[in-house]
Amino acid sequence: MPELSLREALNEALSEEMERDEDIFVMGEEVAEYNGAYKVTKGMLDRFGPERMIDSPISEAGFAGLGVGAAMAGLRPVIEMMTWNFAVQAFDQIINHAAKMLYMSGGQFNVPMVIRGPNGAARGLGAQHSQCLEHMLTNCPGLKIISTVIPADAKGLMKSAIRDNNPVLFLESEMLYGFKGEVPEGEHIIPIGKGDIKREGTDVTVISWNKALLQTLDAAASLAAEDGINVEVIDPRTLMPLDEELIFESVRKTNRLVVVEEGWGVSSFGCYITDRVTTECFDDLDAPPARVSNLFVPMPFNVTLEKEVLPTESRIKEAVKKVLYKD
Amino acid sequence: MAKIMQMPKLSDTMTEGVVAQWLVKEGDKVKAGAPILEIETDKATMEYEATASGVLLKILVGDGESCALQAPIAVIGKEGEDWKEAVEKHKSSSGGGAASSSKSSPPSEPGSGVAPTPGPSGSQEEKSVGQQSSVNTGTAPSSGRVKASPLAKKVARDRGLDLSTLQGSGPNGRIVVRDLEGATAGAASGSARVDAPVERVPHSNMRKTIARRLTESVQTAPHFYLSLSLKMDDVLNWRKAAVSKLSKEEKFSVNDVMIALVARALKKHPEINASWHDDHIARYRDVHMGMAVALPAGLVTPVVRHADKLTVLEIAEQTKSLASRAKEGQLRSEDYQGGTFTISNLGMAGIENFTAIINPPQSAILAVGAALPTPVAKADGSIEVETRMTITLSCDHRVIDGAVGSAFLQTLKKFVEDPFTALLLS
Repeated sequence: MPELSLREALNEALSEEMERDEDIFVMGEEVAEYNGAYKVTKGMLDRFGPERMIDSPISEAGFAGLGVGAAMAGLRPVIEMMTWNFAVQAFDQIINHAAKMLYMSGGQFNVPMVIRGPNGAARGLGAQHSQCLEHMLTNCPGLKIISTVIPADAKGLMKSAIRDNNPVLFLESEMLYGFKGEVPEGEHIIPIGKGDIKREGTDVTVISWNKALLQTLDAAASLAAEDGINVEVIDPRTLMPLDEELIFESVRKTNRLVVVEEGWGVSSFGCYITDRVTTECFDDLDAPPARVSNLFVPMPFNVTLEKEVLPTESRIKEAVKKVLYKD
Repeated sequence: MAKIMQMPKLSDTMTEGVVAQWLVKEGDKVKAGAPILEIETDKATMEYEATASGVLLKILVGDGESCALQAPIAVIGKEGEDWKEAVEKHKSSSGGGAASSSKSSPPSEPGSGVAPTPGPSGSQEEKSVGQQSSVNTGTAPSSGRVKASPLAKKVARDRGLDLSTLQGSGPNGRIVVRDLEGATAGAASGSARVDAPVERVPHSNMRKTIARRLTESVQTAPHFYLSLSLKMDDVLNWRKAAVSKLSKEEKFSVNDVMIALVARALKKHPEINASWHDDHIARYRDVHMGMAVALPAGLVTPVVRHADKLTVLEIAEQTKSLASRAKEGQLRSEDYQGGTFTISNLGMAGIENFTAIINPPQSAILAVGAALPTPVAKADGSIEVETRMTITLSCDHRVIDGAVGSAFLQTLKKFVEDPFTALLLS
């Protein structure tokens, strides 16, 4: 199996789908001539031409709205947000139009649109450019939300996202576009709503996704080596709809839950996961679930402080030990 | 400064209190000495009075909720005053936990139900120093509620384990699943798990008290039993004749006669009317007769005071009043505390004879069976039918030896078989 970076895996998914379906087009800032701000769309202008690879003005509300309209008219737009931080400009289009069109039109208009881009902090981008939007977006019915950095998962899920007849938000990570992994060639499909066990374990269930997942896997390896703690790591991959059964099954085995998420932990998606688990697995819990998230402050520009605000490996390990009563 | 009202100790055996209901609301004016709430003790529901005058700023323990003795239940102060401050201050001065009550007061009145009032602040400070270490271990079982993780509870349920017997290693003494490793179920429930649908009946305070006190009794007092058959014809005939001349309100029962006779026999045998203590045996000069009264929720033993000095009619008046108040849950603590001996009568239920468990701290209890016509072989070989009744005395062997118990029963037999003479005594 070839080893591809996250950006190459996404590029492969987009290209294969565009070959397959002429209705698909890509629009966003610098996606065409510049090959994408993070080179996800590299070479695609040459391959698919300017009619299907469209550089937009710097107006997220504008091109997100164009996407909604095009999707209602029967095309399948893939809209790139240079980062999800900029998508705040387009919240009206995403939340009031894309998410609700099917409902408001009494089922007459589908919005088969993908909005994709990097989410969360990169490195030293400051308070306005380092945010995690999934905590806000998962709170709106009508959106499917995927968040992944694993190249194979990204390819398989991007194909499903493009083929889905509903708006799908796709959250990636700027820091991990170069992150490599084996990616199956050709028709590799991962259904939306299916999580994945990234590391099997027996002692604690840790749920994590996107960039924080890699930290969690490092913490799990270190906990196994240093403390003999056998952590099971689950990547939901799709946040909405959430693969609850996979999580419940794991918690019923380990009797303990930790959620590690980037972003602020106040009314976060991790809150929702712990709520579902305490409700459905109450009798199986031997400890209150623990959560690790950003500290509740605007992201500092200073990278040393930034590192402390984001989930750290040591905070993840502490949380795991806490639910094991080993703190 | 606002004042804290604490959960009072309203009976000797009370270990926690339940607020049955508040008679006033937050914000109401209250007056020291006026009843403002009802407290359910292990035996009865009693009105309790405000300990200070002012406005009821805050109710800390609501209707139906329970708390440890001496725990704050309300704050009384001036209108608009900050109740939180008073609670904080109370916490820091009392060490936060339930104050323990002193148990070894000299027994001139056994188990007298005087609630220990919180000592002056000096003594409370001393207490808080003493309690410091146990508070910090995080295993203080004060509130009576067992803290356990949901999983630990489930596993305990499945394995038939009693969580209240385990020590929790989690935060605040929480029992977590690792604390169940190696724990074994109690002998009764362990190996034989009953696999049948159950209805779980939560323990009432009364049920908990019965369980605790009677278990304590059989575990600490070595019981032995003496049985005797009494000829009841004279008592029954006399009662029948007497009752026919009395008004309905004045009627008395065989049990009332037995209370009078047993009390008079006890007066002659003070070694039975006694309690075991670690370094001495206390013999009571007064005879306060407890009588077991069955209620739907359990059992109470209201007390007829100075029964040896009362006439049968006076006893009857008291037993009727005590029994009806017991059935309404309206007994006051002085109604059921301080008994020196107990009679349990199942004769009216047709029980011929039985043994009873001693009601601590007493040393003996008399189980009274039914009076039944019985053929009796006489010395000349003839057979006569007499009405006879079997009584069984349960004795605490630490206090009473066989010969002593037998002597008491002989006196009682003499009294029962010649009640007229006995009732002249007082």
